[in-house]
Amino acid sequence: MISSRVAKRLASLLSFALLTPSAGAWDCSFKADPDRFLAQEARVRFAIHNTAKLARPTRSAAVDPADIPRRNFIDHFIFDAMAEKGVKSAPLSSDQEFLRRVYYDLTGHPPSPADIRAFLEKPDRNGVIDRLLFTREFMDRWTVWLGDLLQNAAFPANFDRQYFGRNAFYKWMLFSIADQKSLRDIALEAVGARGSNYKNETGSANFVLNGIVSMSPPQDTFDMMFMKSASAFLGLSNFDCLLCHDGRGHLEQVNLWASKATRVGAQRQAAFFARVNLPKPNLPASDFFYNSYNVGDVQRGFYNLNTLAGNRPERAPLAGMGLLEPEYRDGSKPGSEDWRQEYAKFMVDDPLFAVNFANRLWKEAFTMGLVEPIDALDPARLDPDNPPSGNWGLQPTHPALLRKLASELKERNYNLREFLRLLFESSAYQLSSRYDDDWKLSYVPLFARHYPRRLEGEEIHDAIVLATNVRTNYTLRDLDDTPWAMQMPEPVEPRSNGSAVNFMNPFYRGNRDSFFRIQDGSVQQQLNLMNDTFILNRLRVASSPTLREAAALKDEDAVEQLFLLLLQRQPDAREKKVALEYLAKAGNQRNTYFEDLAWSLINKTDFLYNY
Amino acid sequence: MKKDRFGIPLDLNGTQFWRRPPVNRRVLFNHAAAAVGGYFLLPELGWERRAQAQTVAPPAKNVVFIMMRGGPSQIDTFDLKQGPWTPANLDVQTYNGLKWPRGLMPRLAGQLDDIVLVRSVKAWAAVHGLAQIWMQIGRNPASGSARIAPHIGSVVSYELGSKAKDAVLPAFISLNALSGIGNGFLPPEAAPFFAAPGGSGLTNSRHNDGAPRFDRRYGLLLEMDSQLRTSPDLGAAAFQTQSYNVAARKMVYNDKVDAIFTFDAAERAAYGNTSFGNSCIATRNILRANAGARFIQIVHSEWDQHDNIWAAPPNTQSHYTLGAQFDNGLGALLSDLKKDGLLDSTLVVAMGEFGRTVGNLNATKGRDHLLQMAVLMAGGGIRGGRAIGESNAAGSVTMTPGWSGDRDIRAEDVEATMYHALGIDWNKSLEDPTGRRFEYVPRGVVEYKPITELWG
Repeated sequence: MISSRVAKRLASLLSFALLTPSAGAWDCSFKADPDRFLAQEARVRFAIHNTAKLARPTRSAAVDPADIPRRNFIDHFIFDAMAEKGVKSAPLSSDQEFLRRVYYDLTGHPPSPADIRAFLEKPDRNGVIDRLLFTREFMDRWTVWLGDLLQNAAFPANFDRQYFGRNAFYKWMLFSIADQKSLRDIALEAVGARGSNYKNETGSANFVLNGIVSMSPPQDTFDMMFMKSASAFLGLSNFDCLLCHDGRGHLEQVNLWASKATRVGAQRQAAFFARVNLPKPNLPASDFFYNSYNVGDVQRGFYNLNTLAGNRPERAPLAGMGLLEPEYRDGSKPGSEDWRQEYAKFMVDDPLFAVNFANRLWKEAFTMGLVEPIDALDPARLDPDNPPSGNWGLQPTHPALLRKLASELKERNYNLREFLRLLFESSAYQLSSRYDDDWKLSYVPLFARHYPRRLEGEEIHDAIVLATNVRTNYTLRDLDDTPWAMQMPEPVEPRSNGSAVNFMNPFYRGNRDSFFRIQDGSVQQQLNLMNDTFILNRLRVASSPTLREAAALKDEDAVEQLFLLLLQRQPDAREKKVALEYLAKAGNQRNTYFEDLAWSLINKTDFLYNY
Repeated sequence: MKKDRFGIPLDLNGTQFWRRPPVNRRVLFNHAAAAVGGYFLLPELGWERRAQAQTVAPPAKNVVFIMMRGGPSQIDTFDLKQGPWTPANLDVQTYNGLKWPRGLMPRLAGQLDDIVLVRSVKAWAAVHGLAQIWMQIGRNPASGSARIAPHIGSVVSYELGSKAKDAVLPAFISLNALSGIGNGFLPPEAAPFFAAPGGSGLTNSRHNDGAPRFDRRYGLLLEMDSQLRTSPDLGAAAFQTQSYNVAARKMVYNDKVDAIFTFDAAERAAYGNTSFGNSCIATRNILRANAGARFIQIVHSEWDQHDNIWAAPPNTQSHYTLGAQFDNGLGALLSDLKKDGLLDSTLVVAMGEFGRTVGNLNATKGRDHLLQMAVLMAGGGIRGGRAIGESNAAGSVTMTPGWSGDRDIRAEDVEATMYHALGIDWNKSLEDPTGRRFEYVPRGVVEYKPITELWG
């Protein structure tokens, strides 16, 4: 099953390259976060196969999956599948590899040299995970994650949330993470929010605003509100297509469930939002709430089938019916007049709600979802006991695992930390990213090694500030100053400091509205790492207390300290030799040469990756 | 202003994004004639699109796309309408039948022979963010495919990027802004390279600690990183990073790059001494050096003149200020490109995201948003010295479309025009990451197509 999936994806990637013609699709909608894993793998492997054979240093070889300790149910699914295919597993990561990875993934910040030394002294992996789950850094990193998911930005294209709205939304998210609010409650509050979008306690009302479509009939806004909630909370972005046309004749190659779904079915769900009301208070311009929205609902109103203009095709009466009443995708009808609240309840009880978050969080830990793209789940291809017929395979790489993860998430009351603990404690997460055997494309969906991810702009920024301890406090509109990029309420900040923004922008933080966070590499990133004054000014013994301290050590200790500061690991024998030889040439310019060494570590490939 | 319950002004509602194009008698007979000619045998594509696809591509090699952010007032610039609102010092002159504000844009006034003013253009939306994205991706940002849609420049880069020999710069350069719409689902190589040229070299193409130290550092890096640079230990993405690193290294202390982004005070003055003017100098230098860039976007802002449009300079929102910046930069660029013989191979398109209200000024002495707009084009082998299309007396709606589309020209048509000018098949589509087709120019109810009349 898996290999046929891979073959299918490969075929589609190949046809992308060859530009094969096919039936012209309509200018239709979907929302994807394209994962270029396989494409990238294919390209690079092609390049390698076409160059001379490369010398490979000997390392611990890939191992029999049976030898990997099963720490929880995840490991049974992952390593049994590998064994079944006769594929070897990467060995477990070393303590240093694990520590750096888990710090970045859970907190967005790397461990300090003291953290590393303490851990190597007593390598209690579960203990570290437990400690990190309850740090301020954890809250910041997962608030950024939630902010990306719920699209918090002050000035999106279709409306202005303003700084006050953005800050209230940000604080609501930060407090939700801090208070261990369940993902279920977060979703309920976001979709069912009532009140001012400027108030912290009703900051979630800002999520509803994401649906605003300007210059269109209100039905476009109802559609968008439903679509945004279905994408974020159910992974069903295909509703964006369905709100224009039936799946039949459009989505047969894309999504089995959606190919049978209808436009009117999607519209009946959008109808749950048909009573939403977003008045602005009538106040003088000097008032704090002047530009705010009071998110609420009106008592009457339907989804009318009467539009000729707007962002979606005409809506005409169906079988003489000029309006639609809400109906959830499982056929449920609202039990009260309060349609939006009813929808929120149906949504969090939808089995896809847990599947969606299990898959999204899996991707945060494993770099690639069990289903990709993560916002295009196919409900007709998820159940391992009921596989689809015909050419369709099951959608997840590990269908039974995804099902079990979803039920475990529910079991753990949708608690973010407890679910992450499960993922991070598994051997599967803790595999090495190195695979010292013949690596094949077909191993990718087996998670036979850990997949490195490029560090985010915020992580790179904070890693350099932490390593050098040269801090700049950034001012934010009506929020506390902070030196940490991971504490920005939206990724286009800090607006007050152009050089910090210009340093981070090429790492594609996105703006949460018209362009999204992506993992692409670029020439500009490399230019910034080489030459940006943000880095060069911090890599000076004269200005960085941590570098000064390290430079004062004996050569061998100085090199180790520098590696721990910047790469969060000890040098290997070869690197150590190169570094010591370089320092030996320093003469009376030792600090200068030490700075050069620091520069070379920041520009090393592994600096840029969480591996 | 009356607003609906979403806070959107009521008079802005009801834009007809999806309304079917009117089929008048002429269009009907055109189609009928084409059908008799046998075009109906061709599958899938509309008759007109198929016919257009077969025309010979113009000779352009480059596109310079100037985004007049905020939306300039068309009746005070490219579709000039004189009235009590027109200050005397605009010095309105008529050249070859074209009215032009010589007092505001004297340099361009002397180059109208190379310029086409397209006056039957209409934006889809009068909301800044939305319309700005629209013009850059050539499709509705509210449609789902917008989420993965590349910038027009990224499509150009994807199509033409690899053809540049010894390219020192990426094929898509975005000037006078440091972030923006990117490559969407296209490969990272198609992403825009952002720069805000100031004349003292390309940012981060030199090392503040000096060239000798940079060389020493880079040498150390190669030695330190040699293992990861020869094996994909960290997976494909990390391995691919090496190619970016090597490309970046090539740009550091590169004479060609330095020559492009280094210019002195006299040159800056000749282009108006503004960030827009500086970007125009860099554009000229990039094209002169044949440095590999094929699509250059320049942002000029901020034309959102709701208040005091005729305030005296140096007021930054003043029409005088912005007009002078635009005229000094673009006027000098056009004349330099012409001198170098590069204008014929470079299509220049200057436009805002929409137009502004017409007639007398509003209560705050400015102009508000309006869908009707006008576009300035030059170079790329187009026949200048004329207008395409005609608006009504007020300048608020199109009266005569003036092109074979026989309807308002849209952002999608401008997009098709730029692809067409570069010889890119604008009918093409690619498979996108979820197995769907991504059309370079979206196929909707409206049949978008290039304004081939520009070359007629």
